[in-house]
Amino acid sequence: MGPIKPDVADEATDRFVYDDAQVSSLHQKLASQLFHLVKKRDGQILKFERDKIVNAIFKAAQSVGGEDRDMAEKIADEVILYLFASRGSKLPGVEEIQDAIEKILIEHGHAKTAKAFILYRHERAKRRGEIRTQPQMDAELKDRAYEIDPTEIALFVRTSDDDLAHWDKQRIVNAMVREAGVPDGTARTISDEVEEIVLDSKVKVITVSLVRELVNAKLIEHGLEDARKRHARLGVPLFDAEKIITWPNRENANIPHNPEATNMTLAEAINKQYALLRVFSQDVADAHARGDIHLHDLGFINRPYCSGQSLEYVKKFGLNLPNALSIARPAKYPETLLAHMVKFSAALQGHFAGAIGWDAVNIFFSPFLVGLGEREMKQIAQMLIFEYSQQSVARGGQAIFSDINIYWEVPAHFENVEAIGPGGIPTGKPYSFYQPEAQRMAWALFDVFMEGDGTGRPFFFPKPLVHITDKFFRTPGHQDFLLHISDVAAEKGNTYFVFDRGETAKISECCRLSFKLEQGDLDDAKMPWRMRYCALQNVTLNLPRAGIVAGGDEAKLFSILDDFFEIAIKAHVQKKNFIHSLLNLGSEGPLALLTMNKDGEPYLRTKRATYLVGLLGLNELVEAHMGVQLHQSEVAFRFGLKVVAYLNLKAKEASKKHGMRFVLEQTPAESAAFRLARLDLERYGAKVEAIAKGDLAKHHIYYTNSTFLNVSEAMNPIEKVRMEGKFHDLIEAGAITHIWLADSRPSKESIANFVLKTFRMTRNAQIAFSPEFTTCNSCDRVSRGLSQTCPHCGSMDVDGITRVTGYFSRVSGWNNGKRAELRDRARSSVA
Amino acid sequence: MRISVFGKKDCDACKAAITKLEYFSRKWGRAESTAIEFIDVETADGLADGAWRDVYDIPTVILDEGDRELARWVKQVPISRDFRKYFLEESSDEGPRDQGVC
Repeated sequence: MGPIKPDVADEATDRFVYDDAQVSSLHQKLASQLFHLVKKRDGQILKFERDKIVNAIFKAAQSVGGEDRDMAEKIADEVILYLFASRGSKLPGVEEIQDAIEKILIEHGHAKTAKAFILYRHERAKRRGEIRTQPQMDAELKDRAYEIDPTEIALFVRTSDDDLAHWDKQRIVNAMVREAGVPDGTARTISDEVEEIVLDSKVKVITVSLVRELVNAKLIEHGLEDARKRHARLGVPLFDAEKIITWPNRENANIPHNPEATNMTLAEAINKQYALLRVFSQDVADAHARGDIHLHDLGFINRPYCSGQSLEYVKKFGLNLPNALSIARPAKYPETLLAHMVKFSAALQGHFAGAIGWDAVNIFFSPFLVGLGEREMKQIAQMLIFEYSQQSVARGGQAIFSDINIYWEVPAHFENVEAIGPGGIPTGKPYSFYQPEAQRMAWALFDVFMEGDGTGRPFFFPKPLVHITDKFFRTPGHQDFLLHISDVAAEKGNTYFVFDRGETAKISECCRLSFKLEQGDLDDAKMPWRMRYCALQNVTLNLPRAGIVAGGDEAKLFSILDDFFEIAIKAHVQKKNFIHSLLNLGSEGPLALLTMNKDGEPYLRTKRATYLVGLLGLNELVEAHMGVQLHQSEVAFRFGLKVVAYLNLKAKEASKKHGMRFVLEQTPAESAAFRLARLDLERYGAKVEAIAKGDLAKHHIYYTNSTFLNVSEAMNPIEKVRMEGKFHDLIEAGAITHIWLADSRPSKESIANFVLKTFRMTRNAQIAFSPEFTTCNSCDRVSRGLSQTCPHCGSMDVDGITRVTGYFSRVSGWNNGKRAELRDRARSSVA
Repeated sequence: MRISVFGKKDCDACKAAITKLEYFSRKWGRAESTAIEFIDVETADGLADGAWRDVYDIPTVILDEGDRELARWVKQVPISRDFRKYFLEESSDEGPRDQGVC
């Protein structure tokens, strides 16, 4: 059948104006000629009967009190004309006709009749057992019938705002123009194409995400790749969301499994996509995706990485945070100060992806502790540790990742600084005056660590980092204190021994991170509240991949390292720009807390920020390059040193070039060691099988953490500490050696002697001793060593506890790579 | 005997250490049997050598006899009185010396 125009036009040209009756007559005449056949739902082709449409409309009208059959006839003709105008002479289906009836009824203002027709149609569909089996769909349809708008057409779009909106092609155009900068004409063409797909699909309710996917596919067809990126929709597949909601997150052993953690993981998924699409350039995002580098904490792209804090800030300014519901003046009592510190930590944890470290906690607490008896002192220590270990308030219900730096002596840079006392008032005395109180608090803290929690388990947080300095050994009582903290190290494993040799001073936190204090920082020490530090981001280099790809060619190896390093620097610059753009929003921005200014500069001192270049799998790089591991030959070990030295110099060079502080860090690599090994296995196969550690058959593999020696190599522990320590001066942002104790329990004298040797005879920056425990979920008791059953009650419902990277956690929360590493760890006996 | 001076090119104390060691090795007639090497810690090889030898500041001067470290001076130009004995006793076949290791 040809166009409908001639018949109408011939008559229409005779007069300027037709009355309603004439128009109706014309329509009827025309409509009766347009379709002769109709396709039923079961595929049968039958005769097209106009009266059936009229009857359907009239019945619907009658059900809501209508009596005008002529009107039903007029609307039926409109329906037929609409069908023809919108889809041509193609054989109409029953569903299409019913859609058209809905549309015309609504457009002509017959909302009640439309509603009745929709419900009638729905009931029929239900009886036929078609679609709409979900209660939700029923509810939607009911809503739709009640809330019908005369301007609505039949197709509904489920929007991002949990609403049902009617189809509006203009919205597609607007989105493309506004979000992706697509020219208006092109946007209209694409929206037409998308509408055609949607209408042809006969879908009843379409989601905005599906519309967007269709538009994005068209943008690609039109060669508008950049526009597609800008127009992308972020989210997770239904399958993934269900997994996240149901099963624990094993990317980070510190994450519990609860609804808040689920929310965090879902939010992280979107943040990661946002980061890779918008914060980082395509080459950086691709380098991360293919595994040349690993961008840490992409799920927390909207905040810096981790931080070092000063309790002096809280003492001096109280708790006065942007957007807070109340303001607290500076604390007057130790319990209040503790409350301020913990609450501020919780607030800060919402603004940093990683650790919240506190410098010289016992030193800065000391003016508040004058005159406290032993019992009160113990109580303060107990409150501090329990507050940090039990607060499940941070990032998805995690405990605050907290570190407390502790000194036996008052470090040189604080000894003559005037102390801030209760009420934020200077006491008129230097911190050296309060050394006895500081020492009592340090001792009490380790008393509590020794006891463990209510069931005797080690506390996971806060992590106590004791600074061992030259002055430590000149300070009276240090032998006893060293034995005390060594006892805790042997019994519970909590103690971290941080070595500040010579004039070195630093703040330590996170798994092993440290901020080395330079002259400017030591000047700041006169006003310690200014000593606030952060690492803005951590980007790890996949060192084994460089070794694999270079294939033994040294020049090529360093050239690949150059490439990886440059892309890491680029990533840092981009993250810096992004964070600065958020900070520039000031008190209106998401990082308002970090912009508060109480001492002449923003809380987050970006000029003192460091940018971490993480090292992962040096052992496997050397193995791929030379065929032997670090511990297997001096030549191999020295080559490993050369690689790290080379990167150290590159970091210095880049710092000068960009005016940013790039420093190497031993990456904790809790998930990266697993992820990068798996990516390389997929890409390089046998070459990776030759060097990766773990269970190859199950693909539970990993690369050796940072610059560590092979964890399965049984070595004299002091020799391991000495050898690994040779890397530590080259890794300015923090390094550690772990001594895996397992179920052995050295004497406190052995540990103290080991610590002394490490300080005097090696360059190692930090050591920690890691015992292993089994905790019983049935009887709540804890035992030494990792067991399959509880030795107390025989229950098999047990979990292991030991250090995953730089902190204690339950083994059940570890990823497969870390579990493989745990099986491989060569346990040491420190005798 | 081998003398390693770990330093930087623009470090005056490092240059002074080399000049001094060369002068006295000549003065004491040990120039031919003493190798004095400047190791630039601003190169990857030099920095790695320094890490291997636990060098953490400059100038660091290390005297070796074969695989044995005889003495080292950290962040200072050694004074001739301190290293004289190693030069003058170099030819003697004594056992390991313990007085020089920091």
